[in-house]
Amino acid sequence: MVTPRPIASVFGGAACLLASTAMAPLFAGTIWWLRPVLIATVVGVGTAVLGRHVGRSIRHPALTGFCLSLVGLCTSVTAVGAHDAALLGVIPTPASTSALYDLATPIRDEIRQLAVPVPEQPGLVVLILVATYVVVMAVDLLVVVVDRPALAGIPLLALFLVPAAILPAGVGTLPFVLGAIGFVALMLLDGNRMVTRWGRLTGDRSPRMISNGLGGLGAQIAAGCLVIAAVVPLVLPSLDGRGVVNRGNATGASEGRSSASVIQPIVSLSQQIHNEREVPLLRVSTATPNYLRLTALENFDGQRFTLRTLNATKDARVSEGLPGPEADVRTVPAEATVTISKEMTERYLPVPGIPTRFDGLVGDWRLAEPTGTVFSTRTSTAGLRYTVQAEVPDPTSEQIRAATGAVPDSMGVVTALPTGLDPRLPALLDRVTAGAVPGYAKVVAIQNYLRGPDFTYDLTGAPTAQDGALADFLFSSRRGYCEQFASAMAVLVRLLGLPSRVAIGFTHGTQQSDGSWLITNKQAHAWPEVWFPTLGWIPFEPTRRTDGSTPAPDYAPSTDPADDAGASSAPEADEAVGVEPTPVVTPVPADPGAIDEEPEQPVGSAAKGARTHSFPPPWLPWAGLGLGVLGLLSVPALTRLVLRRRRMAAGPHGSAGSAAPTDAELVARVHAVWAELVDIAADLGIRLRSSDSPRSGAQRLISFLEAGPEAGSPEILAARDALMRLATAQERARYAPPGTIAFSPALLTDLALARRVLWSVTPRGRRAMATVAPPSVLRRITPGQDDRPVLAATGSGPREGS
Amino acid sequence: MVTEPGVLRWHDPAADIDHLSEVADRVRRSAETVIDGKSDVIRTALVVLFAEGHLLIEDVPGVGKTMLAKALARSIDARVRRIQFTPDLLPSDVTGVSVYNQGTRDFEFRPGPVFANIVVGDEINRAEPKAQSALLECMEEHQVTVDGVTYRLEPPFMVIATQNPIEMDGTRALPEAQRDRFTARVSMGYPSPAAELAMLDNHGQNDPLTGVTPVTSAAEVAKLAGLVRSVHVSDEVRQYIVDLVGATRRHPEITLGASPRAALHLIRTARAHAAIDRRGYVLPDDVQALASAVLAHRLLLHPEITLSGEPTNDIAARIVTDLIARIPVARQAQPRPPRRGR
Repeated sequence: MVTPRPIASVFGGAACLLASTAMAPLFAGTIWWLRPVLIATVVGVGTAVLGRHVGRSIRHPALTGFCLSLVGLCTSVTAVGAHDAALLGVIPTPASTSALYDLATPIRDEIRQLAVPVPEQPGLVVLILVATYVVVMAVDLLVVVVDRPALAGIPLLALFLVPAAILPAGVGTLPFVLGAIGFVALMLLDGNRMVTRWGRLTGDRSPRMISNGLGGLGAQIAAGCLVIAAVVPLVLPSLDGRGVVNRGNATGASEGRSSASVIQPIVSLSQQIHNEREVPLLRVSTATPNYLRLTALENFDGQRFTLRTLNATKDARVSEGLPGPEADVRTVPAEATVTISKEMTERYLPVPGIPTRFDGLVGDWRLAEPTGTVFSTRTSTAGLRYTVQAEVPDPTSEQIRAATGAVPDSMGVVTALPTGLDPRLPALLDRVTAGAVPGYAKVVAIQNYLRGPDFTYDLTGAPTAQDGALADFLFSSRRGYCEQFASAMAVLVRLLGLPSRVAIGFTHGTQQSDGSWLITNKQAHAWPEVWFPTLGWIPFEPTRRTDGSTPAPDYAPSTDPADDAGASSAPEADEAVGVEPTPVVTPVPADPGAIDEEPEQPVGSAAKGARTHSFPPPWLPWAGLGLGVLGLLSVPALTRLVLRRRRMAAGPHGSAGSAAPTDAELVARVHAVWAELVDIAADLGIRLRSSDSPRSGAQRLISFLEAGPEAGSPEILAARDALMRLATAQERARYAPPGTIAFSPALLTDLALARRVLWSVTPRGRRAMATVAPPSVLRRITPGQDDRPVLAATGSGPREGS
Repeated sequence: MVTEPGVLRWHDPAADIDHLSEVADRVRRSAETVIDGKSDVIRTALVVLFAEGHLLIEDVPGVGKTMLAKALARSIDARVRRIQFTPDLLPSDVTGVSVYNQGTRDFEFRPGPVFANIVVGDEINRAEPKAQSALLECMEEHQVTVDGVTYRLEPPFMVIATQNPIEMDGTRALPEAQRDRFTARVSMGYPSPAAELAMLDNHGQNDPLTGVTPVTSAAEVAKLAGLVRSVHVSDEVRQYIVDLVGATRRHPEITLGASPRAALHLIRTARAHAAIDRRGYVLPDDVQALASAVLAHRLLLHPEITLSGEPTNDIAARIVTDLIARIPVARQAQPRPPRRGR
């Protein structure tokens, strides 16, 4: 018969509440989702307790508790979801049921479409209520009725599962710890109940203390596990770059950003490129190095390009197939294996050109068609590794020239220009494109104008965020970096009437000794893309980086002779910089001076130092860590070996010595042999107690020998005699009067025999344990369990001389 | 074989120890002809004999307590006296009394039954404490003082007392002082069915005690007891004894722990035990083997503990066994030179 145990129910409810904090990052706002959780917990626990109390009189407390809980579920759902249609606001009626149904139907689609954090939705409130209620009921059932509080962890885990699966950052530390505290409280309850189940407590301490002590043991273990669970992921590498606890995000509330709240890529780009520190972000294994593209910015507000809202349905998952390039355009196939470091937590996948196929990609990645962005709202790129096959548009000049036609109305976004543009722009455009035939030639002319000698690549250029920055770049300063160049070209192309946008990504990086390409934050890049009818989006390159990593495309060749060096797609140092051309295959990373910045730009020695360090292969720290861990793990075994050697060495050496050993030496030698035997026993899991005399210790070992099927065999008998001789020698050495002690080298033979036979009768697992992690060594580190009760019981302090 | 104790001790210790063990073996076999299947009890009795102590045999009536006492006494060629303790026993009935001699016109001391080598005190806990106390002085100091005159008791002197458990009718608990003077308490226990069957067969014909003849002499026993004193006790064992005795004083279930005298008795019996085992030095095993017999009867249990209904003797014995299982005999794995005063 089930006892009501309201305290346990309350504990269970509290644990549910604590665990539900994990859902906080899923929802925007607090009150609207916390309310149904509170209602579910209070009503769920209340009805269950009430039901069991009432049910005692009819001898079915569990059943009545369950039924009343169900009633509570129905009424609370009705009250929350269909209050108006229900009788008295809580009693379900057909009308309220259909209202609930109407409320619930769209939830499915909403869940699929909404990105976290989710705003308040009436359907979702009902869903949260029901889900929490079910969890509360399950926990209550397990804790009180089934009386297995430990199992209540499973439904509690369900509350964690949703955020852990959806949020890229996982469950934050705080919700994890809160939920775990709830669970530990349940375990504590369990522990105390176990103790009371064993029977009456006796002893010198009060029963309550003992009970707390024993129950507390479970809590101690749980707390210990909790600490380990929180600390170990910080130290150990994990498969996806994060454990349950996300270290970068203590509250777990800020990471759940959707496409709407993402940092504008252009800002992120600007930050990356200006970062003093050079951080390896990507490692690409490919035969055809290409720009890696993240996304494209299509909205232009007069000052800067911003990201258009990305939309992608389930069908747009990259695993469902990709549309590929337009049929008419000539493309070059590219295949790249991309390894993304943990430093790069983007929502967009770097891909070369137009992806056609992904292999080994983990997560829900979708293609947002208009911008050609592969993105995910749930997974970040950190730690990803995948192989992408793509088509890089490489049209011939003839193809582009031939691509004429009207721009469809649907492309309004990419041709739109705000009013109030700088009035000098049309004039500039006319000047730049003078003499060129409309269309392709004018676009190339714009590109080459920007690549021309008038403009200087300068990372210290003003960010485009300022009002008039674009005009400033084009008309006065003419200094800037990729962002300004790309934006300027995109704007000018739009003035031509052609659709254009700014793509964000990376240049191909520097080639490493192993042939792969390393891309750091300094390789972040922006370039314009121009849309041509039947060909689609074609990238151009108006930025002339001094390191030559941004050559003009073949279909839009540069006319500037100084730019010739960059005409090939291979990464080469710009001659103008005066740096030796870097060989394609080089044992060290490319000359850092050639990477990114103008030579005349003042470079602090610190910045230089930061960039001149060679990047170790990413596996090196892990390999080092692995070696370190291995080394650490082998310490016990090595210690054991050294200990044994030292003990054994004392014997033969001393007996061969000419000088007669003193009593003390003899005694020490016998003690060493005995200590070795004790350790051998400990290694094999036979714990000789400190209260065992040598004789009873040997007896313990003998009974271990004789417990197995080999008992009675000559070897066992020999080992038995050897053990007795060892014990006798030890007790003589320890207890006999001085002057009567002898050390015989035969003891070493006895020890070897005893060791061999003891090992032979020990199960294999134990032997492996004894070899790898000898308990005798570990015991030295941790004080023996069996010594403690003596002190506790007798109250005696450490003995004199100990 | 009567030689000077000094000579015997220094001449060849191993041979002396062997001799002691041999004598003990003879006495044991002699006693076993009477009491079958109680070798451990007899062994403890012998240990107490050579440790110059006194033995308390406690058990329910009819299990052979008196028989054991008499068998031991008869196995030794010594003066044996028996005192039947009754409620009306007077101290003078034990120690002796001065009577007026008409002829010499003086008081003359008539020695009581304590003037013997082995005194068998039967049913000791049925006497008044007054009478029991008459034994105090002789047991500890081996002397009797009557009317201000002190008389020495000849060694060996051993009191073998029997008593019924205190739960029996007409018994009264021995005073703590009295109990503490008994070196060891043993319990006979019922014989095994086989031993009981054999007993029925043998005892039907004749009294087995009549067949017991002395196998050693009082002088030899006294001499061997002197030899026992020379058995080596290492520092570790001394420390162990102190730890063990000390632990009883701090044990939560015990209101009165073992006295320093108990430690003395323990070390003395451990020596005898080692010697009987043909060893010239004491092992912790000797102490462990005797701890229960030597310590248990001195422990005054917490009143609450005794309410459980379990016989107090069993509880005390269990506590001692627990302590033995927990007190470290010595720090094993740390070799160190066997000398003190670091």
